[in-house]
Amino acid sequence: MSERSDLLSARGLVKRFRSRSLLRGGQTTIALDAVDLDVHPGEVVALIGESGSGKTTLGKVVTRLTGLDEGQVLFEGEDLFAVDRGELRERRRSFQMVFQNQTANLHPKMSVREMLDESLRLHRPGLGEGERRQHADELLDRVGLLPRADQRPASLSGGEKRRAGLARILATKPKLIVADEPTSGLDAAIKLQIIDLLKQLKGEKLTYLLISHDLGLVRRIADRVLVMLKGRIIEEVPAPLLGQTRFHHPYTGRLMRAADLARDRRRPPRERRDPPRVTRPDEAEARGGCVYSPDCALAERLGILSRCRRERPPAQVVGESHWIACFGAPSELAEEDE
Amino acid sequence: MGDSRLRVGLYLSGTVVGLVLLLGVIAPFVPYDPADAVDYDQLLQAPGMGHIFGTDGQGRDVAMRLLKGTEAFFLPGLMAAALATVFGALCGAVSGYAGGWLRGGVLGTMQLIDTLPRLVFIILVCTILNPSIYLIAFVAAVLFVPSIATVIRRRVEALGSEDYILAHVAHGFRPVRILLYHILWLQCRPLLIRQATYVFGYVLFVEVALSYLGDYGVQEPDPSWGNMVAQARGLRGVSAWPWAVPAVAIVVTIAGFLAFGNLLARADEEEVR
Amino acid sequence: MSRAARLAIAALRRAAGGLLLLVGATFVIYITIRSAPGDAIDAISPMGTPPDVKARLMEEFGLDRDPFTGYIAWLMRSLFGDFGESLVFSPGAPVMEVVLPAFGRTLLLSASALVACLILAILAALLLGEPSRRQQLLTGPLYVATAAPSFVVAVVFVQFVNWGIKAFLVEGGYVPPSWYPLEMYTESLVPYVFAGLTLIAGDGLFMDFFNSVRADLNALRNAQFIAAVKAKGARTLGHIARNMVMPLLSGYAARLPIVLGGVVIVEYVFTLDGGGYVLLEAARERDFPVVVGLSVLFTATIIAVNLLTDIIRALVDPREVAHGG
Repeated sequence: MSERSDLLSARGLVKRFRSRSLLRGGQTTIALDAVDLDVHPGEVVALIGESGSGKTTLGKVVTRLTGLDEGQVLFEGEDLFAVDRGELRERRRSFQMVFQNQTANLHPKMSVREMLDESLRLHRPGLGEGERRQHADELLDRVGLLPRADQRPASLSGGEKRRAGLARILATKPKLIVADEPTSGLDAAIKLQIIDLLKQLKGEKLTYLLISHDLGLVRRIADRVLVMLKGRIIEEVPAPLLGQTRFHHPYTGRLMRAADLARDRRRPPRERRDPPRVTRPDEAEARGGCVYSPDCALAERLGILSRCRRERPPAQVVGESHWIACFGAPSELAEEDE
Repeated sequence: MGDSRLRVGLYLSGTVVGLVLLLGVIAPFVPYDPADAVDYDQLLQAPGMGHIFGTDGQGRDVAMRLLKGTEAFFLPGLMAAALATVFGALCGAVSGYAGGWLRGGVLGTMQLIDTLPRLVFIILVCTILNPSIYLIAFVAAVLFVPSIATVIRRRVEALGSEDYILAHVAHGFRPVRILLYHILWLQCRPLLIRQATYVFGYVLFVEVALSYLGDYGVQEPDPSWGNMVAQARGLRGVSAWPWAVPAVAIVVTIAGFLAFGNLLARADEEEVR
Repeated sequence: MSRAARLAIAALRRAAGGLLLLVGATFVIYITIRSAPGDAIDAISPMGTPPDVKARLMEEFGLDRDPFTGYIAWLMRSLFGDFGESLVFSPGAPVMEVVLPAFGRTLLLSASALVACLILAILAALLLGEPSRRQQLLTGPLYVATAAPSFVVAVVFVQFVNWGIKAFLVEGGYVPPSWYPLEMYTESLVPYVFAGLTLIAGDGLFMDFFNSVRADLNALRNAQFIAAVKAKGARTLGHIARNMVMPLLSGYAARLPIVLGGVVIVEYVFTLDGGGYVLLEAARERDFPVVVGLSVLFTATIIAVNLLTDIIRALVDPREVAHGG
């Protein structure tokens, strides 16, 4: 929201997916709906939300891995969608993406060291053979993968694959890392190791855009949290406050409760206030209104449902670096939780 | 499938492939005058010293004709295999990676070529152009491009859907490098080798078929495996060697090449897994 | 939209695509004709063709016009089955009259061979199931045997027929008039059966079908939805059959060009009076209208069969409809 030196600044991003089928007619899905996003140097911004909320799409748009229908992405003040392809490839060094799909980050036919060597050859053309090797070893050491350097991905464990993917990304000396679910599919102990590694790298002046629905990970390393729903950011909250403050968007509250329930299975499920669906009546009046309104108990209680369905709620500030896109007043929001 | 069985199969078929390649390479350097080889004192000899595969109806050494017969298909086969593989790989990569009119255009062309009945079309070309075996091999190569392109396109699409290409683009690699090196060279090599062995086998098949039919391909007295079988068919009941030897050579060569390609691709799959 | 309407639209779209392919393929054939070196008319007429016949050929193939309008004129005739008159093979007879009955026999032979091959493959796959060690040892030689080009198999068949089976079929003392031993049986089914067997055994067809049927069966046995169906207590056989139809149909479509290639040679070796035999004889005698007519027929058949399998696939699997061709 501020104008101080942003690493990444995106304004009014709109992305639609059209299903091309003559029989069904072109159905349009809105993946991003007027999204603004700022990332400052050295911070970790987390995007949370259910699958299908547009997190990954946002990650891909701000790294220009997919097209954009409207809006603007500035990386270090430069319009990312205006640079030509050759320049874009140069820029890519500065912003790297870790894909959720681990097989995508690694080449099945190359050993970790070969992959690093290839990356260094591309991104540090000045280095000689020996220097590259030395450099690769340093990188491997940083992610703790030195003993497994000559393995191919097939013989690496899930955690090792993440480390290898990270090492390869670090080879470009990126300023921003977009990490899509860096801990998904890992068991608890390995997950902690990866979190530690990410934290340690954060200490080395790295900036992250972290895409995750792992709230534990987010609380541990994020500075700011953005909550996404149906292609919109509906809340921004400082990470330490996540789940600690009484002010939350009703949807964020629901996410928190779901996570709490998931963490402690012994506790019997609380009252089933939340219906399992998110949005429909009809796609919240064709998205003119709040996308959470059809599920929103608060709107129902406050009797503002018809307004919520018709108007898009503006962001209202409820604290420092904390805003919520909701028509409910802060006091009413606070009452919602319990 | 057991590892050892796979290896045995690879060795066996690899030996066949190696042997055929060896024969193909040395054949042009062996002097041979078909007219000179006729020897009416040595008609239809059974295999033995001097003639390891016996002699044919004109007393010519079957082994020698078998060796020289490789010239009829060897170079054309290699050429067709190389052409079909390169063009098939490119078309497959382009149609798997690109979108829009380029993809549509390539796919349409591939579909079009694929509807032509291969052998019938080759015979049509033969009737009109009375072509050399090289042109026939070229036509065969073109006819095989679609099936190779389809195999490669599926692989590229499968990889693309795994965010695979995207991850490499994101890393800053040029799409051309990703396509040519990461995908075609590193990932599709065994597939391409398999397709190349198919095409090579098919050229042998076409050469043999055309020679057998008589009017096209290599003409007597120059030897080819096809016209050896054709020549010897009149000898049924008299001597089996003149037709059995080339027939076995044909079958073993084609089967050997196909098996080699298949097993290589399978070994590669198992290695990744 | 109702399901029937969707299917109809999908079928129509595919039919239009098929027609487009046919036009494209005939254009390729036509351009091949035009690409003859020197005077195209000399390339396509047999030696000693009288000038008036040459003039007629010129006109029929549009050689007196530019390739494009020439093609249109030729296509218009061809689409209505007018491929001109045979020159040598059966002088003066309309090509279609010469070619159609023969081609019908070819189709019958190919189709029966395919069906028989499929049945054999299914039987073999069901009987063998998971390959035991001994069966594995058998696959090697079997593989070699079935990778043989069909015409090599045909030649071997003819040899064996002459040596062994002849005694069985013919009551002694029969001396074949020329090199071909089965000539007297052309009226009977025997050579057709042999030709069919040759087609099945040749070009790796059987092995191909066998492998894909076995793979499909195994995949289906392990498929999760089968477990789900079993868990519900329903019978699995129907589901397996239904889910096998699709891959096998596409297998059919993919194999047809190979079978049609094999059948040409096999007919020639067995001298069966089919499309392939006529094609090769006509090619040899440079009876050009017959060669072109048959080429178009073969191509049209491949397109038609692909179209048919496409449509049947759409009927079996509703998802296919949505994706369009």
